Amino acid sequence: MSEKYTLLTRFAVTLPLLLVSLNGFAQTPMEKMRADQLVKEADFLLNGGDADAAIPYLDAYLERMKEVDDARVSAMKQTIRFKLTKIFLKDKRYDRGLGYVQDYVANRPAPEWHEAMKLLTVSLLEDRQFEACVTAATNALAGPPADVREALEKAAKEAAAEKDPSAYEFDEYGELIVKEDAEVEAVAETHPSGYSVEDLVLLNMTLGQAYTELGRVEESMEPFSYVVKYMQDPVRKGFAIMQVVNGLVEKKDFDALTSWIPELYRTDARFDIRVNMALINAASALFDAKEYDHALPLFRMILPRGELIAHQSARLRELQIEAGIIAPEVSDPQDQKLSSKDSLFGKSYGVEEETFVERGSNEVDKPIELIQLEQLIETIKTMPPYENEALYRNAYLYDEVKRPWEAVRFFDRVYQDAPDSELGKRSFYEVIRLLLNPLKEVAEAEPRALDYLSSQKEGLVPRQITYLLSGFYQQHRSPEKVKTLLPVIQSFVPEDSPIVRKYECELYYMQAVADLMMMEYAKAEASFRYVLETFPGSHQQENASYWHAATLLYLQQFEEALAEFQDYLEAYPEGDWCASAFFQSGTCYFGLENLEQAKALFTQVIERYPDSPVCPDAYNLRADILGSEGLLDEAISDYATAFVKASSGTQAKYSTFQMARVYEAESRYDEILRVVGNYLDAYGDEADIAEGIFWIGKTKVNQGRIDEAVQSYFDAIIEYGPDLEATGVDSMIDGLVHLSKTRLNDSQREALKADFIRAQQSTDSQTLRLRLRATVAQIDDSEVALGKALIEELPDFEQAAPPVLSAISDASFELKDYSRAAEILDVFLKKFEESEFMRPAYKLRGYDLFNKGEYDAALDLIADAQARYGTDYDVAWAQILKGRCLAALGRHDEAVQELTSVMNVPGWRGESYAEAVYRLGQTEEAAGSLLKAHGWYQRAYFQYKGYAGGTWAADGYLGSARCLSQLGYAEEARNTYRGMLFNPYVNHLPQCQVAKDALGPDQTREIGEMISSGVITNFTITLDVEEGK
Amino acid sequence: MKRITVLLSGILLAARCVTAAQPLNATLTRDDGRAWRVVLIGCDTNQLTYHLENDSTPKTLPLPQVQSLEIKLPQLDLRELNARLVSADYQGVVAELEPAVGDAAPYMVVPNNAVDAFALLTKAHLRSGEVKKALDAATYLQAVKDPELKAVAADTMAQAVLELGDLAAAKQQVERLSDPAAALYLTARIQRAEQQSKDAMQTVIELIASHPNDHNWMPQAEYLCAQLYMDLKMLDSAAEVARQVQVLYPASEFKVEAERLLEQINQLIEQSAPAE
Repeated sequence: MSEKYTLLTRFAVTLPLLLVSLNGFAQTPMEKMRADQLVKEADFLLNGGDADAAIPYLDAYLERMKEVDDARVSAMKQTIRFKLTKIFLKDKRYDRGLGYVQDYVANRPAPEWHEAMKLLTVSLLEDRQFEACVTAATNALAGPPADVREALEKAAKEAAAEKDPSAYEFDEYGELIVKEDAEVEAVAETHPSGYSVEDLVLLNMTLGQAYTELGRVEESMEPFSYVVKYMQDPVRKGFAIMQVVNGLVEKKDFDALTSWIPELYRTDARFDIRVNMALINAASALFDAKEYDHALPLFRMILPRGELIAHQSARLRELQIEAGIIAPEVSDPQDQKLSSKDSLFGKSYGVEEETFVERGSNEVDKPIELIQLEQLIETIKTMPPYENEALYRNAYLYDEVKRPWEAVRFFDRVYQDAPDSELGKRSFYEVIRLLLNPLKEVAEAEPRALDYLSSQKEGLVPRQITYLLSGFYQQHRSPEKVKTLLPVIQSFVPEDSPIVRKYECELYYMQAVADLMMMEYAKAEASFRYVLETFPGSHQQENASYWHAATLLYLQQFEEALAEFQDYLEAYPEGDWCASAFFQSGTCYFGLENLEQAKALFTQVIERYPDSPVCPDAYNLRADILGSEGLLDEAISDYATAFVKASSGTQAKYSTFQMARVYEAESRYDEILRVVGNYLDAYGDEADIAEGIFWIGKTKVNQGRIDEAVQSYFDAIIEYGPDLEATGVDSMIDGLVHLSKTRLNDSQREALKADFIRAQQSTDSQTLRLRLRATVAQIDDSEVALGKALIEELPDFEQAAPPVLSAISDASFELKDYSRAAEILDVFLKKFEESEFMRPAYKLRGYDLFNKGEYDAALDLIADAQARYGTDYDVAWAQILKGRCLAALGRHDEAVQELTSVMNVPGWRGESYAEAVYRLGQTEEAAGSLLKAHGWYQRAYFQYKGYAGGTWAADGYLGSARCLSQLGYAEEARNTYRGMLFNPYVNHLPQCQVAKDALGPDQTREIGEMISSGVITNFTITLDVEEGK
Repeated sequence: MKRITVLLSGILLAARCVTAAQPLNATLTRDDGRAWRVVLIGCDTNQLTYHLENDSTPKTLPLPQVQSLEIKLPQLDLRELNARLVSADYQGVVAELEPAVGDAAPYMVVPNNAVDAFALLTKAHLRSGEVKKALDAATYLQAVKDPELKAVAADTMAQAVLELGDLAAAKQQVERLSDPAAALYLTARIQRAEQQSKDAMQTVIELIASHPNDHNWMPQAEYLCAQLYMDLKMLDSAAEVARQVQVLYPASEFKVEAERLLEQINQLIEQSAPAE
């Protein structure tokens, strides 16, 4: 039997024997008591449960015997120290308890050395003396000092000798009973400290915690790893796992982490919430370190909260059944969830102190494991849904490694689960972002985003989503779709948050850019102004300042634009748009016809910003000015430099063909061929081949090399003609047709036609065939006939090139057949939006809508046509039709204004003026202003009789006579008819039948005879009346 | 016609007595514990046919009375064979296993020592593209009692039917699968076969999200994911997924398959790169 056993036994046996005389000593002062009486009194009090009262007696014994070295007394003193240790530490009175236990381990004998060291270690941790705890734990794990070890071994041998050596247990088969965990036992047997596995787990746990508290995370790994390996209690094991994982994360030992965790994952520890928190920690750290291949499997291991609860609840029921307890109802404290703003990552999920706190007396009947499990389940239930955070990060990981579909669906899961949480909102933003780019899944992204925006008006995310949509539309050159978002932006609830304001500013800026892209310059000007005024000093201040000035320039408000460009240059001397601002300032001066200043500014751009994208433009425009000054060599030099420095095909094209024009003026044909050839070689497919070949052909014509010119056109048409999108071919056809009509004789023209017809018959391409038919028709002036044929022939216009569609439009217009007007314009808008041949299609559709009485739609179409073609000669119809629509809508004044404005465009002189004047008469007549109407009608036949075959003049005569009749001027009306029949510009037209009917056959015949006899007359009807009389 | 054949194959097995191509020597243990050394002749769903080693008279024994069969097999190192399968040496595995356990197919209906090797052979057939053989083997394997192996057999049958191009039959098979991960994987495969790569992608992601630690299905699901990105012309993503399959599943045959796929993807990327 060990010495420990002997001493304790003696102490326990001796004290009760002396109890009989206790009453006699009870009143004896302590100092008068013998040492053995002190011990007896203390023992009495201890047995009575009054430990505090026993302490003075035990202390008195130690004091009285402190100088005594006798072995028996020493043993008694150690026993008393150990007893006092336990008394004080039980009540957490560390100031006293720690002193006794330290005395105990320092003195001999120390049969309870292992237990004392364990108590010392744990108490030091609890008393937060971490350094001392580390020392004590390390010493404990190193095992007892040699003398203590020797004494313990001796005692062990004595004890063994007292036992029956053959008392081993065997099972019914005669096999030695194997311990449940052989490995664990083996370790315990061989551990040099002499501690059991259970004690070793406790000491290592304590040491690990002390290291952690001291921030010595790396050193904590070994003791915690030991705990993970040998701890039976799953709660403590989970805590240790978490500590190891966190330690590895802090060490950034990712290799150890990734090899260690899957091993762990095969155990039930994966159902521990702290293990899952540690996994999130680890995965996030790996993600942050861009160790995606390591992070991904960890993210995948994280179990959702529901799964943990289910698992732990099942285990709880098992334990309850084992303990004979009826399963309690576990309420689901849904309403106790933590705020999602709480950190979901980091060590805040570390095990709580109370996990290890002793239970209250009301729970003494429950096994400790069950109590801890109940608490754990409660903890899990009250946690926020951490799996969403994990999913969110996992989604980010997928995004980072270019797995966008996975990213979208993972983000979507987070959003679907918690749409109103911050995480959910952010996830929705990510869903839309990824769907738009890179996935280009507009069909899903657009309706989802718009649906979201229809109800979400506050905060950052709706603005971010609008930004995504705007950016996507902008990128895909759909400014009109950007504009559809304006009401959404305007409906946002205003906020002062800087980031929200920044997004809002950006959104309005994008709106302004969209206006600019749509060439709605007035709207763009207002939009940029809004940005500048509403968001002063914003991140877009510089850009908005520049573009506001640019819109003023596009609106031809040169002076205002110039001032703003100068302001920009002053405010941003190193700004991104400086070169452009200088250049545009030059353009403003150009517009103001101050060519010297313009030239000076272009020169400034050339000298200060030689590498800027606008430098070639500056060269080009300076060359234009030089050319206008007659400095042709200097102009050529600038154009040539512009060509060399050109950063786009457009710049190179401009300089090339401007050079060609200068050379043409000087009849330097070889130079033309050289520069055009250089251009075509340098820009290949990007070049405007049609224009190039047109110039080559034209130059060869000028050189008298007609055959070569025709051949080059012909070859190019055949080569590029099958390509429906090669719209330059159509310009070549135009050029060749012109050439054939002006420079070829009949036989040459016939030969060319024959070549085209042959090519038409030999090609498999329907597109080329249709183009060649259009070419032949143009040579024959039979486009309308072709158009009429094709209306019948073509079931659809899929293979029809722009000239073909144009011929069909013209034919339809002449036939007043508007049945396919909408279809033709649709094809143009979808396939050839930039084509010049689209103009007749607009006209056809405009008249179509007018004739159907769809005046508002007609006005929209006219606005579109005018935005595209401005005041070009062949779109005067649009302005006239606009007036007619307004008149039809009863908007008389506006109609008059629009029709009058036709006469303000010099380019529309002639036929368009004639019609506009007649339409003004019609408008006034419809409004009941007969005098005014008469005035316009009279002007139509007086001033414009020579236009449009006299048709507007003829109608003017009739209108005038009609008004006069209604005003009661019957004779003047008849004279008007007479004048009409005398007028050689109109007297052959069918409208004259009205005049003939009014005058009667005699007068009509008489007039005819007078004309035949050479009488020339001109009736002038002057009304000496004023309106209203 | 093919579809009908495939669907009926399982049913026919129940009705006919299947005779092994080669007689197999085995130790037959009856339910009463008594054992005999026998030569196996055949087996159907009701009874085992055999004769004793020293007596060629055919005998039958109702299956409920068969406790187990210890079939005489050549020495097989299943761990090594499995490693060869993982390294994509499918033909090598088939070459070794087919003569050894191929004839044991009819006896899967009773407990025997060839089950694991036969399951490996079934998988090797499937991977090597011997789809018809895989289907036949899986049909036999489905008769085993082990529920996990039964599920594997069902999955294999569905995959084989799909590989044979009979999508309607494959859909029916999928409906019968008990393993949700397997059902998702095969649904995605069917969608891909129907040129619905985007839908297939969604299904695969559902699998990845719901069964991320299913080490049986995840390698092939992610491999399929790489193929789907290829279909969708997202070659960078396809390359990344293929690379991750290699890294994340080193102990799967899909590591080697992913290497091969990555080579194809890289070639496509090279071809699609603009010329210098």
